[in-house]
Amino acid sequence: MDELTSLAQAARLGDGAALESFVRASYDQVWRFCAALAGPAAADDLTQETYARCVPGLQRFRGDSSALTWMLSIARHVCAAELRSRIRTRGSVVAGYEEVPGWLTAPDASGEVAVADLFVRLDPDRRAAFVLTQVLGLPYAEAAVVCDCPVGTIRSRVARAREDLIAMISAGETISSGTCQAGGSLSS
Amino acid sequence: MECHSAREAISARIDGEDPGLPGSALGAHLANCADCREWQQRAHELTRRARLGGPFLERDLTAQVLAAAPPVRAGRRRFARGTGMTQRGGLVAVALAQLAITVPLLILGHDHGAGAHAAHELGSFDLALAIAFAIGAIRPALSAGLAWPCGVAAAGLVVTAVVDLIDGQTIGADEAQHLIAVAGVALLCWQAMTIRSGAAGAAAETPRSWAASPPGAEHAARQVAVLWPETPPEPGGGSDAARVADPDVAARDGGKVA
Repeated sequence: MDELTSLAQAARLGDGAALESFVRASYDQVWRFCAALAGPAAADDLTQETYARCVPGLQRFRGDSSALTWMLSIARHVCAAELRSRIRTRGSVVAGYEEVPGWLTAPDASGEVAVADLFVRLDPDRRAAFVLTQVLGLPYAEAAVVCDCPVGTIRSRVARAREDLIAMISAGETISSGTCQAGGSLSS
Repeated sequence: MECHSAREAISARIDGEDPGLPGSALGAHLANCADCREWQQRAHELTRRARLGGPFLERDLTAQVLAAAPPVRAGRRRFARGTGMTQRGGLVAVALAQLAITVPLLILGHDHGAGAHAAHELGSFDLALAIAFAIGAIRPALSAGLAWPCGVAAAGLVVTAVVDLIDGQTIGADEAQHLIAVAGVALLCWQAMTIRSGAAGAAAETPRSWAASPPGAEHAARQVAVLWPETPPEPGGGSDAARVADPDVAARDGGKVA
């Protein structure tokens, strides 16, 4: 059993210090997952909400899966609810991004488009699979537990995410070098 | 092999995972497909950049999270454990009593006026009920599903017993044993309801936002969140966030592109 899971087991029996250590050891991963799924500005709120659900629910944590995958699957549900509410209030999750051509025109210090800025344009399922396995470094099997799907589905989602990102970067590079006139249609 | 499946295998191999197809087949495809060789190159580059990137958090959220999160529901747990023990203990007792009924039927093969074969059939039926109650004690999560067939069986026993009592076909003392099945069904229903209300309670208690931020600020933050402006500025580089936020700069860049 990993350390985080032992802490969760202790916290569930009412050990306050273990609860604090559990939060301290896990919030960074939860925050980064939320930030990648729903945007860094909303990540504080979403992390907060994830813990608001996990902590009272710790008594139901049986240790069947690792505490991290348990936390991350709750975070995934919290973020999915947030994205759904954005669709309700704004009509579209991505509508707002398309108004800002920044990801095409603002390469980072090294002259490269920041890959993390492109995550948001991925399909949400592919985004989750890609972020879990690449940014958080989870094995496919654990990502499958978080996403509640078979390992083969994670493999195909990660590959599709890579294809999409490579296509986006190619499009951005051709636009930046001025050889393509697609910029206008993409940003309008 | 199609490029589609080759790229899935390449992607998995980069991550050190099972590619899902033999390495020799992938090698053969790569030897013949320049597009996939280039794709593999780009996928490696993308992976390197993606693993370095991603938004980072530089603050410690522990205190905020702990201050806002509701406590571990210890009280409910004690209550739930006490109730759960009563329910499961009750189901064990009912299962044993029900099992006792089956002994004369199944083993000895006699049930009052009924023949040996009818007694065996009745015994099988009673044994099934006993086992259902035992499973309810071992796996409480299954109670809701078990309660349905057991409930129908118990209702059938009670209704036919009452009808036959009125007709004078049987006597009350013989039929009293059916109350064991009724008690078992009641325990299964109670257990199912306890589990359901526990799950609903956990789902309901989810505070929405940071205590520290006023509702207006939270709303504004969510509006802004959609635009991703708070990407940490690159050290030394021009601030992406400022460029994105400044319509003039964005327009100029857009103009330059077009």
